Order: sequence, then structure tokens, then C-alpha cells
Amino acid sequence: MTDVMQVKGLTFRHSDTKRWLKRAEIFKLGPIDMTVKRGETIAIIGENRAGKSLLAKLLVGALAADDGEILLNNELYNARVKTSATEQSRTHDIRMIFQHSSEAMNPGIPVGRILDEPLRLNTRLSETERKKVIEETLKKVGLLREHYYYYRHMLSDGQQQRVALARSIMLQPKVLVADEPFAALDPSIRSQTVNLILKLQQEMGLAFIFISHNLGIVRHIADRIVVMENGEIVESGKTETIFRWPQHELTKKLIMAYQSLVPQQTLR
Amino acid sequence: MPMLDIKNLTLEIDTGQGMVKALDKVNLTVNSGEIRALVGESGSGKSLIVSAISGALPGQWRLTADRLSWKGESLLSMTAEERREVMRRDIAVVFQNPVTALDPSATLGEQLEEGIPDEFVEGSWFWQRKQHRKKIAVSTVHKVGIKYHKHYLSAYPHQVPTDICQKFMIAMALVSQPKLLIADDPTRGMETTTKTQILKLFTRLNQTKSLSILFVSHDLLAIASMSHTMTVLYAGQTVESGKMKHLRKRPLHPYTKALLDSAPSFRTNLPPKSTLPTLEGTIPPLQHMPIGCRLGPRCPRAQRDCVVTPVVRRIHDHTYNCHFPLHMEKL
Repeated sequence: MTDVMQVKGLTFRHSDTKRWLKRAEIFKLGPIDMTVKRGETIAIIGENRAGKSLLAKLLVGALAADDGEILLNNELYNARVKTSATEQSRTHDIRMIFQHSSEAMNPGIPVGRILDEPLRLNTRLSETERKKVIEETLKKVGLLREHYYYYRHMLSDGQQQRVALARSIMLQPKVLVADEPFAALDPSIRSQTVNLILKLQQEMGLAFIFISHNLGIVRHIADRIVVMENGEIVESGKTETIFRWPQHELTKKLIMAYQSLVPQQTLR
Repeated sequence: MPMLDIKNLTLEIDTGQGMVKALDKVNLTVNSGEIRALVGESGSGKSLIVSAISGALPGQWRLTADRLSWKGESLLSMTAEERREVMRRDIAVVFQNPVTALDPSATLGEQLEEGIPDEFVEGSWFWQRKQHRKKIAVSTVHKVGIKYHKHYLSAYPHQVPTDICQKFMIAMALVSQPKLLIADDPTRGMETTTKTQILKLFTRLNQTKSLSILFVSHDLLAIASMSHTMTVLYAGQTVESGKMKHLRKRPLHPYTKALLDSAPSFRTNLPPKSTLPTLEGTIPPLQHMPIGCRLGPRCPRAQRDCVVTPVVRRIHDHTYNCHFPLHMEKL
């Protein structure tokens, strides 16, 4: 397997000193090093305020990092300096699904136009070609062609999640980053989404990086786990290794808390 | 003896195209000293039941029930004062969305102290009473696992993270030492460590103070670890109800089985990355409820008879509403 993405020494510093009448709040993320292989699923776990969402945003380039570099397909992308040319190629290969998929959609325009936007801005396809691509993608995520004309409020939670997924795979990315994609979903819809993502991964060879609190799902679909605390990766490794032999204190705590909920399962 | 006893609770909502039954003959009992889980996906009417018990439904919705009683007294025929008294002292509710349920214009400390009943406060002079009230507030806050009480008691709801707000709601519910705690999705959005902490607190309260808990959630992992009995709802109908142990071991309704299967944690033999078994389709919206058994269009075992609403059937204390339950051979 080849590396799709390499992250070296990614750092982000957040300091609030500039705001007046407010105490300085200092949060430092990183340095983060990680590699992502083709078709691999990586789960990021950790407590609240550990910098998980921030890392996800940095990876997709929604926020500019202060230091470090990201290599996508062996193409250097310095996270710090943004030139339009590198950005262009980058946005094709990595996409993000946001935490609340319903709120991340524009309520004023139909699904078709929501899905049209990334194509219109990033490709040179004509309108008829774009519509064809959108219809194919809608079918791929298990929706109907008619959903092109639907508005956000006409769709159920599961369908909205599918549209969010469709939007993110629109440009045929290599890496998909998701911030708690399953948290807001009901159990039956959640397993549908899990199945869908697994299917898409097989078809498109997507690498999938996701944040989750649900360790049951993490254990089911992740190849590797990254544990974060206070902006640093404290442990990472294969899923089974982490679940069976957690090394770091925090990992132990998380795994123990999970195991204590799981019935009839002996601790090893 | 059941403390809270609900039989055939029906709630009709006017959607503009005629009345729709948002809750259709729901049965639910909570015995003293038990933890009853109320499971259902969103839109199944879990929160509506909570509002119906607490009397927080809008007046234009039509609520009918054969029985809706608290310790043998009907909640529906009570006067507003009596009902308020029951809600104040005996039943406590943790609402779903903590940030919006709290008063934005008062500090958390003020809101918590307001909830302390007068007879718990010792001291004859106002400064003594004030001190003692504060002491109760601090100890309750510690009990639910909030460490920096000084900071959080003087904070406003919007300044506080959601999970602390959630814990705070639980503290506010517990401060009046209720007999029954209704917790509407108390562990939503919490990380696993905090969740276990809250669940342990509930279990401890249940054991030491014999507090009954109606635990409303769709987090099956949390439910399975602590509750004694479970009631499953689907689209406003009770689907199955019985002891947790029995339901987990042998669910009789196809929906219960699908729900249990959807949590990968329950299944130790599941190979990683395999497709999870699911029900096709989505939860029906309120305007387009199927007739008869509402699971009908999604059910793998559905037959023609399913357009008639199934009656409650019973095997010992395990009740289910299904024409073709899983222990029957497929026709």
C-alpha cells in the first residue's frame, strides 16, 4: 500500500492575547506526524478539548497551520503558505464531512445546487456534464435522481447525511476527513451510514479519517487509532493492539470506560 | 407496585391535514427502585412521553389515556397545584437540550439554589440559611462530578461547555431528592469516560436511595450496562417491553432485533469491516405514518395482516406488539 498522505511536524498555536479585557488563552497543537495509506481508516479518539476537531480542520486546510508540512500524493503542500496553485490540487484530494451535516448545508438552495458548487468552482465541466456527475453520485450514495430538486428540510437525517457524503466525494477525493459523522444519527441510520462508507471505501479506495466517541464503531471500522490529549498524539497503533494492550494512561482510561459498558466481555 | 403507570396513552397533534396520532396507545410502567430504559430513535415520541408526564405539552394537543397515574393518583384529573407539587418534590426531569433548558439570564448557582426545597435548608437566620443553601449546592455539584464549583456556579449557561451543562441539569434534578428521575438523553454528546461516570452515579443513587429512573435514550450500550427493564418505542407505538436480560437474549419483535444488531459492541463475533445488518428505509415523518403496525414498510417479516394494529401480547412479563414475532415460524 502506498502512502496517500504524510503529515510532518504539523503545529498550530492559538493564543488569545490580542483581545483586550480577556486573559490569554494558550493552546498548542502538535507537532503531529502521521501517515495515511490508501484505503485506510483512521480513527481519532480522545477527550473533549483535546484538539481533535482542530486537527481535522488543519488536515483539510480549513485552518492554516503555523508550522509543518503535509504531503498529499507525494506533492508537497506547505500548510503555512497558501498559493492558489497548490490549493487547487489539494482541494480535489481531500474533503471533509462536518459534524452537523444538516446545519452545514444551505437551506435556501436545493440539493442539486449544493452538490453543484464544488464542481462548478473546481472543474471545467459544462452544465450538462456536471448534472450527469451529480446524478451518478446521488445514486452512488443511495439517493434518487429526483433528490436533485429537494431542499434540505425535505430530507430526513439519514438522507441529509447521505447528501453531505455525496458532496464530499463529488471531486473524487483520495482522503475523506469526518468530524463525528455518526454522533447525531439514530442507531439504524447510523449502521446504514457505516455500511455506505465501507462500500464507498471499497469502490473508490478512499482513505477515511474520522473522529468519534463511539468506540464500538471505531473498533468495527478503523484500521488504526490515534489517541489525542491536550493537542498531542499520545498513542497510535493498530485497532486491536490499542484495544487489547493500551499503553498510555488516557487510552487505558478510555478503553476501560468502554469495556465497563460492554456486557459479557472479559477484560484481558 | 408501579410508581408511574401509563396505559394506552394517545397524543393527537393537529398537523393542518387532520389529527395525527403522535403517540399511539403507549404503555409504560416504572416500578419503585427500578431503572427503566425507554429506547427509540428520534421521532419515536420519547420526548413527547416525557413532556406528557411532566405536563409540559401545549394545550391544543389532545392527550388521552386510560391511565396516567403517579402512585395510584391520576395525574390527569389532578388540579394544577397538586400536579405542580408532585413535579416539584417527587418527579425530577432532566431535559434534552441543557443549554436551552437553562435560564440564560441567571447564573447556574442561582438556578440551582432556587431548586432547593426550603425544608432541606437549616438555620434560623437568613445568613445561616444562605450559607447552608450554598453548601448544599456545592455538594450536589460535586456529586455529579463537576470539579471547579466556584467557577461554574457563578457562570452563565452560555459560558459553560455543553457536557458541564448536562451534568448541571442532573444536579438540578437531584437537589430536591426526587423519587423518580426522568432523564431525557442525559449522555448525549458525552465522551465515554464522562458517560460512565454519570451512569455510575445513576446506578449508585438507584442502589443507595432506591431512586427510580426512567432513562430515555438511544444509546444502547449505556442502557444495557445499567437498566433493569426496557421499553422499545417505534414511531409512537410501544414495540416491546420486558426485562433487559430477556430482551437482549431473545428479542421477539423484528425492530428490537434490528436495534440490538445495529450496535457493533454487542456482537463479539462480528468480523471487522463487515456490513452491519440494518433495516431498509428511514423513520416515517409524522405526516406520513403508515397505518397498522408502523414498522410495516420497513419490516422484513411484514405480511398483509400488518395493516391492522397489533394488540399487546404477553409472555410472562415480556410484552410485545407484533403479528409475526421472531419466535414464530415465518408463515
